[in-house]
Order: sequence, then C-alpha cells, then structure tokens
Amino acid sequence: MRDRLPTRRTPRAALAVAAALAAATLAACAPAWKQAPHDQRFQRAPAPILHRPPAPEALPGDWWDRAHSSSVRPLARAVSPARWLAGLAGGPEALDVNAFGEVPDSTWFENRIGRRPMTPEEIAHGPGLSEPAPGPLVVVSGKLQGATPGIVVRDSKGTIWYLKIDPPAYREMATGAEIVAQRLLHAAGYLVPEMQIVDLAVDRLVVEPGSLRVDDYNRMVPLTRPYLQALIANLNPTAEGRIRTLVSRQVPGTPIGPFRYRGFRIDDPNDRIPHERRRSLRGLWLLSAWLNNTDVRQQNTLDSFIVVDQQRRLGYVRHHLIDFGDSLGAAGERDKYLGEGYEGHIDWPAILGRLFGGGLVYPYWLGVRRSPYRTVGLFEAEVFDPARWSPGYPNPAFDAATPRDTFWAASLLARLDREHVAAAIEAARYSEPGAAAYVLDVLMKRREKLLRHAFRRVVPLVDPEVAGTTLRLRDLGVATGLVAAASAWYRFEVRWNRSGKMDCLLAQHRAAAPEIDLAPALARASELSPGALTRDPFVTVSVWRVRHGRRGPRLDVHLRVVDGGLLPVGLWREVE
Amino acid sequence: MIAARLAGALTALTALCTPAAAAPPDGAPAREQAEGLTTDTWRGPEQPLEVHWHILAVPEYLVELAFTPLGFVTSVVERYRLDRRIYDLLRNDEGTIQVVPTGKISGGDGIGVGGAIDIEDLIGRGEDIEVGGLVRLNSDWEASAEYEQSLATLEGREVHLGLEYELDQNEKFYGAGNDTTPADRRILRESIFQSMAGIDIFALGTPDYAGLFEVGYRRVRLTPGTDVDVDEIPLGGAGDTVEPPPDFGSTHDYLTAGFALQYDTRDQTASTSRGLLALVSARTTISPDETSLGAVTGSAEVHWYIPVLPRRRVVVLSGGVGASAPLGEDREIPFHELVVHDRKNHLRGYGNDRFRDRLGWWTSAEYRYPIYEYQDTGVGLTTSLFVDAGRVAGEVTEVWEGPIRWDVGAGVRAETEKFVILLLEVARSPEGIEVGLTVGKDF
Repeated sequence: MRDRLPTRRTPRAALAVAAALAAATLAACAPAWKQAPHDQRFQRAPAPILHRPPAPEALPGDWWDRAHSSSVRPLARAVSPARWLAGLAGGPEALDVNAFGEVPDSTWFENRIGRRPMTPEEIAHGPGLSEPAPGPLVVVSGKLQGATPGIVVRDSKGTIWYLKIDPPAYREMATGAEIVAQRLLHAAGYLVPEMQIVDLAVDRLVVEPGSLRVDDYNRMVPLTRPYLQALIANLNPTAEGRIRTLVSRQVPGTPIGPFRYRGFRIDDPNDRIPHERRRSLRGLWLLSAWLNNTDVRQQNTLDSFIVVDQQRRLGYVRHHLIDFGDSLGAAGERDKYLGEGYEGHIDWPAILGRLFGGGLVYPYWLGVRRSPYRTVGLFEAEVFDPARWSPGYPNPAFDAATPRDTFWAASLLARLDREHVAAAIEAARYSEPGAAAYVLDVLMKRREKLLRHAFRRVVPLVDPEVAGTTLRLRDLGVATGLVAAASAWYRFEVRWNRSGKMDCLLAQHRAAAPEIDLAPALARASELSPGALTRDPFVTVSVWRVRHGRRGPRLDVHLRVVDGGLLPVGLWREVE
Repeated sequence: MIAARLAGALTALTALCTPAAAAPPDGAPAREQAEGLTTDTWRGPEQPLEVHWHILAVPEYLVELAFTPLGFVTSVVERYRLDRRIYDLLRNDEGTIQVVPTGKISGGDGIGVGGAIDIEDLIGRGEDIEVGGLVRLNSDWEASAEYEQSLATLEGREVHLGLEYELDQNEKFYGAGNDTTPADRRILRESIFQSMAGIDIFALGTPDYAGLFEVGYRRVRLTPGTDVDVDEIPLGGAGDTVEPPPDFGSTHDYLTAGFALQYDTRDQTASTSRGLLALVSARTTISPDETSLGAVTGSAEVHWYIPVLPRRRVVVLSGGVGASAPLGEDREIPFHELVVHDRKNHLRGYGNDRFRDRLGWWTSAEYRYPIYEYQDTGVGLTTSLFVDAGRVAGEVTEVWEGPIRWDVGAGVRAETEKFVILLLEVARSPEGIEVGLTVGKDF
C-alpha cells in the first residue's frame, strides 16, 4: 500500500539536484583545454597500471587475414552507415591526444624528433647498435623454407636474435629497405626493435639437439645440420663464407603476440583506447606511404610484456612495430610488382571502377618505371600520389585517419630533413653505386608530395612558444621550403574567453611572420575590466595564413595568463 | 516510458562498448607507477566511446560475423596445411599418379561430384592414362577412360584411345527447327557408350596447326525422360506435336570416322590479346544395323581477336556454320549429328539444347577488357560484353529466312594466361535471361 503512495521531494533535495545538474552542465560546457593542469606540449600518458601478463595473442591465419582485410571488411564497410556518415561529416577524432593534438609519450609512442631536433648520428644509431655476442649462434627455430629464411638464433649471452637474409636474386633489397624504414620510424617515435646489417660468417650458425624448424605441414620438426648447410649454400655466401644479414634483436620483455589495428586487447587494463582511434596508428599511414611500406598489418606488430615487479610478476605491455621488409621497392622475398603501393592487392573500388569503366579506365600507375638499381627495385616519386597510395591490404586505423591525424604525422615528417634521411640510408649499407643517392632523392621527393598533401586542409603552424608576452609559432610550410616566406602573411585575432559570457575581441593584427605581441591585447582586457584576467585567465589567439589573397584555415592557440606571463594550454586546427 | 527504456538501453550499450576502468590485479596498488614511465603532469580526460558510431556500424559487425565461420575454416586449413596434405595425399611422390577431384554444377542436373585418376609414365614410355567418373544428384552419371601416347616413330604424334559412358535422364529436346518455342520442351533419357581411337594429323613442332583423325564406335539409346521440376508431356506420347528424333525409342549402334583441324595464331590461349583461331571438323556417322540412319556432319568456325586499345582491350569477332546431311537418300540424320545452338553453343541467351536442325550459322561480337590482375602473375579477371546471333534451319533455302535468334550479355572470367578458370556469363534473349557458370573453357 505504501508503495503506491506518491513520493514527495523536499525543496532542499530539489535544489541540490538542480545545483548538481547546473554544475554538471557548466562542467560539460567548459572546453577541455581550460582544465588544469596546464603544462608543456609533451606530457606522458598516465603511468600504466601494473598487471599480470595477458594471454599471448595468437597470430591470425595469414590467409584469412588477407581475405578478411581485402574483401570481407571492405564489404562490411560498404554496408555500414557509420562509414558513409564518417565520409560525409568526418569521422571521430583520435583519442590518444592532448590539448595540443599531440600524442603523449606512452607504451605505444615516444616523442623523439617531434620533441627536439635530432642529429643525423642519432638517426643512424636508431634504438641501438648492438650485435650478437661473439661466438656461435645457436639456431633455435625459424621459417627455413622459401627464398628468404627467417632464422631465430641465440647468441653466447643468451640473447635472442632474428636473422634475415636477402634472396640471391634481390641482394640488399629487403634488408636495406628494412633498415631505412626502421631508423626513420624510430626517429618519428615508434617503438621498433634494434636491427643492424652485419656480414655474418655462416660457420657461426650451429644447430643443437633442440633446434627446430617448421616443415611443409607447419609442424615443428628437428633441424639438422645438413638441412641448414643446404639452405645456406642456396643463399650464395661469399667465398670467405660470409653473408650479408639483417640481425634484429628481440624486443624488450616477453613477446605476447601482435596487436590489432582496431579494437583493443581485452585483458590489458592499460589498453583502453580502440586502436583505430589512436593518432599514432592513424598517422602511421603517412609515414608508411613515404617509405612505401605496403605490409602494415597485424602480422607485423608485436606486443611484449615488461615485468616491473618480479616478485608479483606484475608489469605492463609495450607495443612495437616490426618487420619493414616490404618498404621502398622491396616486398619481402621479391621486389614490388607494378601497381604495388598504388592500389591494394585486391582493391575492390579500383576493380569496380574498371568494370564499369568499360575498358576505358586505366590504372593511373601504369607509367611507373622501375629504378635502374637492382638493390632498390620499384620505388619512385614521379607517379606517387599521396591521396591514392594504398597499402597491400586495408588497415583499419589508416581508414579512420582524419586530416588532423595526417597533419600530426606530417609535422613529424617535416622535421626529418635530408641529412636525417641520408643517415638512415647510410645505415642500410647499400653497396651498389648510386643506389643510396637514388633512395635519398626519391624519399625527399615523396616527402615533399606528402607534406603538400597533409598541409592542404590545415594551416601548418606548430610549436607555440611564448617569450614574455610574444607568442611565436613555426610555419612548417615555410620551414620545409614548400612556401616562400615572402609570399605569405599572417592575420591574428585575440579573444578573451570569459566564463559565462561571450568572447571578447581584444585585438586584431597582421604580420609577415607567425608571431604576435599580446601585451596590447592584455592591456585592453585590463582596461575593460580591471582584475578580471585573474578570474578569467584564458585568451585565444586565432591565426590565419594568407597567401595570394586567400585566407587559409584557422588555428586557435589557447593561452592562460599566469603571473603576468602566458602559457599555451591548447591548440585547435580548423580543417578546410 | 519508451524513451526511458531506450535511454537505459543506450546507457547499457555505452557501458558495454566502453572499456571499463580495469580493476587492478589482486594485491596490486590502484595505479602503481612503472619505472621510467612516471610523471604526474598529465591528466587527460577519460573519453568514452561514442555509442552512436557503434550503433551505425551494426550492419558492418553483422557482415563480419557472418563470415566468421569461413575464417575459422580457412585458419584451420592454413594452420595444419590441409591443402598441402590433401594435395600430397592425392599424388605419389614422383607426381606421376594423381587423383583429381571434380565437381560440376548446373541448373538442370544439380550438383555433380566425381574424380579422375591420372597416371603418367606407368610403363616408362611417356604415356598418359586417365580414368574418371562423376555422379549427379539426379542419378545421372558418366565415366570415362583415356589413353594418350606420343610416338617418336610418328614424329611425336599422339595416339588417343578412349572409352566413355554417359547417362543423362533429362536431356532437353524442343523438336527440330528455328521456330520451336519453350513450350515445346520435352525430356529425353539418353544413354551413350562410345569408344574412340585417334591420332594427331600434324607432327610435333607445328605450333600453329593441330589436327586429329578419329574413328569410333557409339551405342545410343534414347527413351522418354523425366524432369521432376516440370510437368512435361512425354515425348512421342499420344497427341504430342513434337516429332521425336529418328533414333528415338530404341538402341542404335554407330560407326564414326572424322577429323578436326585447328589453326591457331593467338598469343596465348586465355587472356588473349591478338590472333586468329580457326576450327574445321567433319565426321561421317553410319548405323550398320538395319535402320536407315547415317549422316555426314561438318562445321567451321573462326575467332578473330582484334586489339582495339592497349593492354588487352580486345574485340573478338566470331562466326561459324554447321551442317549435317543424311548419308544417302534413304537414311535419316541421327539425333546427335544435328547442329545445336544453345547456351553452350553460340547462343548464350537461350537454354540448353534449345535449337537443333540440319543446318545452322552463328556469329558473335565480344568486347573483352581486363579489370584486375593479381600481382603481375597473369591471373586475373576479364570482363566481356557480347552480342550473339544465329539460327538453325532444315534446308539451305531457309538459312537466311525467318527470324534470327539473338542475345546480348556480359560476363566475367577468371583466367590465367593459359586457361579460363571460371567463367560467369549472363545473357538476355527474347526468351529470358540465362546465367552460365563454366569451369574451364578453351577460349
């Protein structure tokens, strides 16, 4: 009976609810960049939660992975309203970013050249220069069929190394490409294994009773010395018994399988952002296009578990990119075929386009010419079109990339100059005369095309710095030579972001360089409402770059007034 | 109330889609900081997943879910390399003996399953023996045995010997002539046994020419058939307006002798981009028993591959004639010696065995263009747009009189440089739409 009686709220309770709602509403309306603390551009992500080792992720079947990514997923996306809506209205933005649109350091990505200038020596060094310890290398296991064996060895110190050897028909091609890509991706900030090119004496390779190999039926069977010798003989070592080998050190920690380019690892409590919503993975498309790394799949990633608390076996997971043997003109065991990197292996939109084109539609890449260098293969910059570059198989993170993700990656690419790239190529130790110079030339031309593509829809102003009351930005278009400094000028608007009131325009300004002295604007705010800047200490500087009479997209730099000075607290880019 | 429930459901769904703040493992501090990864400077807002994106992506999830079983099967096959195991199981180590499973699908006869055993070099003389068979769901079946031997004493010419039996319980027959209608369809039960012996006409090393001289024996029995899908009038029944073929209703033996010649200048046998293929054949068939059956049959056809645009954009102009005449004034033409125009023979927009008569002509124009090639391997997809025309006739004077049968259509062929793996064609004629799926085709 009591249950049927209407309940009556007291006025006090109603007031409390209303106040809570109002507070929640106000909190929801406040922009994220206003939320304290405000600090520098490169913060770290929260320290990872320590946890027990996740279950190892099984590598998906290669066949199904190819079929799924090339046909099933495109079919699914074709019937997905989410995909069409994202195409029309813009997809969801990345989640692993701070108020500046930067990717904080994390177990996925560590800001390197984005944080500070690097020397060519640092690029050449990469994540490390270690090599297998002297002495015999015990073959533990590996894929030993096919033209290029992948051999897992253990050196005399017990360190595990992966050895890769080029097939005789394509000497230096895959190993060289892998080193170049690894050094440059490391400089960009990705976690990659240590790897070097060494001249390996083949008699260092030994087998022991526990050595195993995979047979034709995917069974692990004992590896015998005669089998290994026959295999090495097929690889054409030099008369001195040496062979060019890429040695790749096992990544730190215990390998627990690959990561996917979408979703998250359900048993990793730190893995809380779907991978396709990570800017570090979305932006990887631009760097992959640059390096022509066409095999950016789950198969070429590796998670490892880093133990921090040995006693309780607690630790966290680090996420690595591995295996860049499909970069530049290489495609693993072979060189790239015509069209590879220009459209997917099974590219349904291109196929359907030709189907309905009645034979009049030709692939745009038919004009591609192979490089004259045997060690480089099909790698060029003339026909390369950033907007149409395609990995061999669609990558979910690449598909979800927005112009802001692309710009973020381009801002890293812009910092890698000719000397940096040359240093990475030098680490590849090309022996063919002219090959290194050719690769350098092509990479720089592709870089320019990619930067133009990425800077098309956003203004390439980065690195907001304040000296006194002067805000200074860096124009990557000018810094990379894409835009002549004399051909552009900058328009500024300074607004005061007042809580609960409309923004107040404090100043307008135009300048030949992307810098502005905010002292007059701050003085104007003090005149309008003395002391109010202390209560409402946020101003926003909007910047446009004007070229040939045309105003480009806007950049908003949010600043906080701190003790008479200014601190950049956020940044927003308009996408045209 | 409904809105409240919907909101509740959305909230629950959001909770499901949002990765929960994971509980620390037993005994671990809530947010223990790892060495080298510790700062307190960043407190990024926890951003929930937007549930609307997931709701909009439900069709995408469903499609992927539907294919999951295929993924499981594929992964198992790859993991245990069942493909290699089965392949190895079906052949000996030297590769001289192998079992080849075969399958056929057709709209009329249903699925057929069978296999063949191919033995090469059994007695060390380079001979090739193939024995096989196939059974269909409708109890039709066929079996064959073939022996081929290249003879050095005959400059590499091959000798062919073959035995074949086929039972088809629903062979279509519409009567003779170009004016038959789909309503004239009757069903025959056909039982054929034949043996053949042949020898290449040209010696080894004449790539543009090929030819075969063949003699054989054939036993045919044609009786009324059945088709479970159609309420047919039995052929030859009372009041039937369709005249049965002359060898209908009893068993007949035939002796045959004939030849076939081929002139082929194509650049490759599939994915052809230029060249000419001409085929001429003639055969005499006679029944040695007391019936008056016997005929001389001949046919000629030409396929001209004309490149019209770069990169294998080709127009194929084809045409041909066929004729069959009784072997003497007192004989009639056996059923199998009549000219046939149907889906498999020149008029792709009409049903199987649609038109039969003594004479016939046909022509077609086909435009082919490639739409896909897999990794520079020569394996790819080619699209074709075609138009066919032709007719059959009983007399020479009728060949150019009366309506011409025609169709238009399109097809996609998966092919290598040497053979067509799969051909899917859809053709539209005044009688309707025909869909043809062919596994393996010469040109």
